[in-house]
Amino acid sequence: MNVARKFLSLLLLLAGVVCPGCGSEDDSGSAYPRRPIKVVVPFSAGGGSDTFARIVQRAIDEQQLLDEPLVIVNVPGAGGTIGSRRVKDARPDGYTLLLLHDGILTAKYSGQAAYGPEAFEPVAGTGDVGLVIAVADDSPFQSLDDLIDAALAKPDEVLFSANLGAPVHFTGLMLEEAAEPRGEVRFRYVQHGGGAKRYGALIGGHAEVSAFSVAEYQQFREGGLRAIAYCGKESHPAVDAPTAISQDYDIVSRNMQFWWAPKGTSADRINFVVDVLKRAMQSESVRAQLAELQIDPVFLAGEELQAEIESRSERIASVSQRPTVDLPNLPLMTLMVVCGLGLIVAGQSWMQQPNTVPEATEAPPPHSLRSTLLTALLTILYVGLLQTGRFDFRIVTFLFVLFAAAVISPTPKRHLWTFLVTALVMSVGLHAVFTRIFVIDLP
Amino acid sequence: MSGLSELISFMLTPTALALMAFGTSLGIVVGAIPGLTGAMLIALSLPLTFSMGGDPALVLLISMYVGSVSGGLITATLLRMPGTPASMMTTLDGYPLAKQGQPGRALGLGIGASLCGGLVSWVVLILLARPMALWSTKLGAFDFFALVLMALVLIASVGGKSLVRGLFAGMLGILVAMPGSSPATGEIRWTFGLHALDDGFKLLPVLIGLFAVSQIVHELLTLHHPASRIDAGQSRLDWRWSDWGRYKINLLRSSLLGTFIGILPGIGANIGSVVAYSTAKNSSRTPEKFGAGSEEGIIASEAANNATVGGALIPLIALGIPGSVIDAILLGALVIHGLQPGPFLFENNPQTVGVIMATMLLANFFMFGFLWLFAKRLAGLASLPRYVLLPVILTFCVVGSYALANRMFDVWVMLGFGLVGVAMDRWKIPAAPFVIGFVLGPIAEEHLSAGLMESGGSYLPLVTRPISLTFCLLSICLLIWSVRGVLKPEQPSESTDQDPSVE
Repeated sequence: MNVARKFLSLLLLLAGVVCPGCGSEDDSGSAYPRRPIKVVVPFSAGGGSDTFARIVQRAIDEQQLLDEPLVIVNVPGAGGTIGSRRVKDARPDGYTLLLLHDGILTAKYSGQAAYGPEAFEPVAGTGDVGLVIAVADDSPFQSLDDLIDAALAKPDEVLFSANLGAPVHFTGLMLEEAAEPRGEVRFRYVQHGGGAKRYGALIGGHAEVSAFSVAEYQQFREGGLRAIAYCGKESHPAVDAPTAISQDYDIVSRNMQFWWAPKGTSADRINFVVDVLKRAMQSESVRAQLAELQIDPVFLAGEELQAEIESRSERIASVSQRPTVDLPNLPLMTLMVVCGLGLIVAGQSWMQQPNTVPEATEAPPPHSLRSTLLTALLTILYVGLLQTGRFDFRIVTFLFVLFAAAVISPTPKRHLWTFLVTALVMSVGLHAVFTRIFVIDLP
Repeated sequence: MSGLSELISFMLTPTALALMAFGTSLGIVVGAIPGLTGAMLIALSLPLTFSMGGDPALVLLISMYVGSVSGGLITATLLRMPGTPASMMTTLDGYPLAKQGQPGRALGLGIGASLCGGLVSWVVLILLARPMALWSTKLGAFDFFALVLMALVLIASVGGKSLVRGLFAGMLGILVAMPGSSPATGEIRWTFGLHALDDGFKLLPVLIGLFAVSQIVHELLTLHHPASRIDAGQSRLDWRWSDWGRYKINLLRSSLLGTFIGILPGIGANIGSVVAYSTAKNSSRTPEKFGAGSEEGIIASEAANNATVGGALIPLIALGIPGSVIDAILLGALVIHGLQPGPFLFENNPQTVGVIMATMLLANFFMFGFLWLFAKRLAGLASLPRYVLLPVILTFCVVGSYALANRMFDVWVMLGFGLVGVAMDRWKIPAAPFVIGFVLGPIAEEHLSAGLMESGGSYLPLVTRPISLTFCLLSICLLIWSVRGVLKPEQPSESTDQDPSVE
């Protein structure tokens, strides 16, 4: 106990010494940026948004448009709202940005998020691509008219494979509205999720129509997908179907990659970022790569951007959403079953109690118990210190490994060198491996 | 066949070979150390693969999978401690045989049988995965729901010792998967006002907590247990060509049993080796030698536990339904790398499917080679000081959970589930059904909701579609069968009264 206590007090002492050194960040000066700018991509690495972000990042890096690196942080989950919330709540100092497409609008108007564009300072709109309405190869639908005819003949029976609350879903809703002059059109929306799953549903005959991004459409076209309309203003070279507008359905459903900053970020810094992004978008490498992905390399900022966001908001807000079929309350049902089974398990254990008492597990010796508790304490302290984000990962990890080893070993004094080496390797090594090789942003 | 030549040239690149060698050897080492499991290793390595491409990541992870199932035989044979639970049955005969002065023979038999099990299951994987994937495109939402339902019943009823505890663990897993955004509508539910929970608990922190953290606690509490060790230094590894012929029926039967048990969801390598062992004993001419150093026993156990690997990969690739805890992590790995397992993996990413299968094959040979060269030395690893091992693993747990989504919340979740794991251990609630329930619950809900949306809210297709009806009936039969097994007066089964050293 003595050794452990000494170690602990030393840890606290060291923490106190280290803290002021790494916690201070002087952001008040006019020089910007003074440290890496984080761009939160609220989707997983490898997806469409992530690819786009990394293309821009590479261009900025190659042309040295920024003195400090631009770091991409993937914060996936809940349709992009986990990442967008993080940026919304971040300090408005220009060091945290968000890259999020029209999903920010659809999430708001479908009720998945309580906030929309108004919670951010829009920075720029870059890259735009329309959605494709597609069917399976063997589908009888050759055009939007065929589709709408079928929907009029069988209301609420044509299955539209969707990702509820995402732009794909709104494309279907917009189509319903655009077909209003011909009568009331109602698709039946089925939740299938991402592009690959919607494609699977069409091919397997579990849905009749869906919408895809141009990139997804290109990926799946060979596998039996056929476009019937492109939802852009003009037809797209990679999509062999006329625009919806030319088929007399006035829908434009596009996805633009918007850059956002937390509300309250100073105009100077936003303008600075706008300038960097603009130059990156004009570079040859970005244009070539976006052309390959069939993305229009547009660039919007300032009032133009504001107007574009407003017009898109209006369009999305105007379509009315309908509730889907009543789904069973599965969480509640599961909870009830768990409680029921739990009672049975408890009852069983209680009934078997007399038999199990003789073979009760031997109590662990005091040293083991003490090490366990101390290690648990150290771990919580370690994670807590990391949580504050004010300490260097390497120092905290070094101390943690050192003390944990000391606490676990029955004879800590004898192995001090082993501890030191392990701790050093773990802290510096892990930091290097993660930040350099794996480009993960450690706390 | 340009695809094939491309695949071969990828698999023979120094990177791929190095990843395979590294993955297999690390898997073996971790498998050999009691208390470290393959699931733990793979869960902790997954964050390291984020920045690799999907294919190299799979090469690494699958090599680890193959290695970790095999490594356990060393410590099982020489220390009478199964390095992984899957090698539990190997201790029964491997240790006695080693103690009788034949440690080389005992290790050799285990290594040879492991290779055979891996290869047989690889053949089945090649033969079955594609047809099963093609067939599964015909499955509608309700069919999938019924299939997942059957899988859940299966885990609970066959996977553990107690039906009720298995079911309870499975349902608890489903319950824990509930908070966050609903897989059906994206609606946020049960987050208790915590926005960090909007996406629910993620698989990786839950797994790390449940398996790694609770194991660390277990290790800490048993620090005082010394290991007794047989020195294999003098004895030569002994596996002869004639053994292939002599044990061919046992090898083939155990491998096939292992493979098919692997295909069944939720029933991993442990049960595979138990079943193969019991079958080998029942059909042996010398059943009395089992448990006292029987060569057949070692072969049955090791062939079967390695065979489950290939078997479990089949539903993972073909249907996107994980067959075991490790496969659940592999499913997560595929998704993280933008690959959608299931029927379309074959069409959209044939290269990836090829990589998985080729790795499975090559890793088995790597495994054989490494074990052959280093098996005897690896026994020493079991005595690696805990004071080095445990802090290092703890740090990996923290960093690994954080790296998943760059947020500290997941680290707290990991610690929380570490506590849950300790509690479940204490009350003998099995962890495997919990994990499978956690993974399958949202899949079941997603398909059920999609089905209801298709049918306009009617449950009727569940019994009018022939495929889903079949699965439903099968689940009901399974449930009735296992409930009857519970109600009948308990007969001591062969497998349980023969394993003195499980915990």
